[in-house]
Amino acid sequence: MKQKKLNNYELVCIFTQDTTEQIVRSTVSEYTQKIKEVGGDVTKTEFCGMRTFAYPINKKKKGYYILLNLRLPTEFVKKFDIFLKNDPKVVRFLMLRVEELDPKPSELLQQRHNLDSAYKAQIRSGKIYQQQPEIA
Amino acid sequence: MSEETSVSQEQSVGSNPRMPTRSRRTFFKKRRSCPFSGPNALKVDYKNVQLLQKFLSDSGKILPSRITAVSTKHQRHLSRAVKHARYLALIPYIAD
Repeated sequence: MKQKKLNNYELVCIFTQDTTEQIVRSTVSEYTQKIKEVGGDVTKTEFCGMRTFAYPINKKKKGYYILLNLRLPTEFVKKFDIFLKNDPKVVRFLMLRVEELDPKPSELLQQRHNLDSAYKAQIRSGKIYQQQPEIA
Repeated sequence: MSEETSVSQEQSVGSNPRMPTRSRRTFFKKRRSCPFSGPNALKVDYKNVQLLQKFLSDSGKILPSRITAVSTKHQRHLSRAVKHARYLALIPYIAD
């Protein structure tokens, strides 16, 4: 098979407040499966939890934030974009191409647990992150 | 003769390190450097809300670089990061 060109992407996705964490997790694993089918890879998955919006979106005040570090084949990006747009559970998303994927926990996750020092220590020690990026 | 005297004066000034060579410029403003440039500098990141908030006014506007001393290049990156963060409702478009 011909080797596909992969690029690094960072996806922040906001789910509606009406979903539960279980549904979010199952949809994310669905995405992961979908990506792996086309020859891409998910190097990091972060569930940043429910967060209050800075301004209301679709008359809702909260949303469930997730962050994915992706390696996608270039021709799949547009399809994935349309797929996310048509997902009613997704309020908003931002997919950006980045030079390098950051394997460390993002600020989005860290700030959420700023007050919870025990959780922070867990992040630092790497207990929460088993997934490591395969390609630097 | 006059040349010789001037040379001797310069030497005397140079020999004493505690003596300021120029009386002007004894006090000058410390120039702040760009927080995103240089070794172990901060990284512009749209997900880092606490960091972005430092470069915003109370009403949520981006502060000019002449106040924050951010270099032109990083000011560009910063403004893009702020706009991404606004889109994701991490920071408000207009704060009241």
